[in-house]
Amino acid sequence: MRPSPLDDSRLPEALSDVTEQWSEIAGVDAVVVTVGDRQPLRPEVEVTLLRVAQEALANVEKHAQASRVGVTLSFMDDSVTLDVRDNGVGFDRSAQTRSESYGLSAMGQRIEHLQGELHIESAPGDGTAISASVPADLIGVPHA
Amino acid sequence: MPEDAGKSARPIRVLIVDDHPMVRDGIRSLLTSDPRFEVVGEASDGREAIERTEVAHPDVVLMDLRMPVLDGVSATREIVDRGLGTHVLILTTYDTESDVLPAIKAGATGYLLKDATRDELVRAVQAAASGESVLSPPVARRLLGQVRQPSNDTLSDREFEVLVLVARGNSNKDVAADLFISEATVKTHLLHLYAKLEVNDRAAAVAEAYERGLLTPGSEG
Repeated sequence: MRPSPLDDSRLPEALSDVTEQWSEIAGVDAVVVTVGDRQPLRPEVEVTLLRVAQEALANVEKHAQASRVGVTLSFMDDSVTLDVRDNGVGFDRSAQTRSESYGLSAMGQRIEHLQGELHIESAPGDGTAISASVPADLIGVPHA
Repeated sequence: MPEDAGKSARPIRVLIVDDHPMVRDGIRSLLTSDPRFEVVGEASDGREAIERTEVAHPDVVLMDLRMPVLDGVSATREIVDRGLGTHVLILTTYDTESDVLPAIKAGATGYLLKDATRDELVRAVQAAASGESVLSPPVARRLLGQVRQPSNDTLSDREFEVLVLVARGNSNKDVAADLFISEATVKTHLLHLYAKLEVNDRAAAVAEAYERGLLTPGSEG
């Protein structure tokens, strides 16, 4: 069931559920943190950020050899941002084949569709952090 | 009148703290000519003010702010922390936010400017003796201005966390590692807090946060 549009975002709960399940299966400690004042989000924003989180977690399991993952949802005045950071092996951002294998382009397209931005930060031995940000004028429910 | 009789029964005991002897003399002659007050001592810096307060147990300390050895805010904090029942009334020429807010936060009961009239000073000392706040109008305006700042200027908890880490000298990379988020998101938080503090860089943000009293010495440590 979709949350009714005027409810507060249920994305934090959805992220917790997804991350908790993933953590058990992958055997990696994971923490979900929500900061800022919750705002109602459009269903497509919630779905997109949840898919990005799932994709990022799948990448961590496949590639990162991490022992810890942090999923952070930040409600800000003009945007909502999802961060997924791990403490794994990281990768060289200049090695294109590897970064493509991360399924990053698919994530990027989803976020671009919402006029948002996707950042990927990584360095060998330094873990990986992805940040998906969607601007406020597209996150909220349009007023009827 | 009964009111006056009650007051004259026990004069308000005042300690005068100012590094300028002329200022102390002026205040002393003003107060000693009034039977409602008793000047129990003088001090020329904050350290002396604490020592004299411990010995003389004044009802009210008239405290200058900028003094050698130990400033008025630090002395106020110590005097208030010692819980001797002494009220501190700041008497200074300075009415900027960076002077007023730390003094109030340190526990000063009132804040009076030196251009106050004799009557204003008398009333302020009486009010301070009974623990009532007295603020010179320009000082009250400063404080109200602080409170009235629109809520979208208030830092979020996360922005404040970022600010504290930055004030400790951390790079964006360090802050990101500490909060276990991306540097991109750290930068976004920084841009938001710059806008709220009306500054353009991290050094100015930290300075402005101190100016506004968001950060105090020790809070970044």
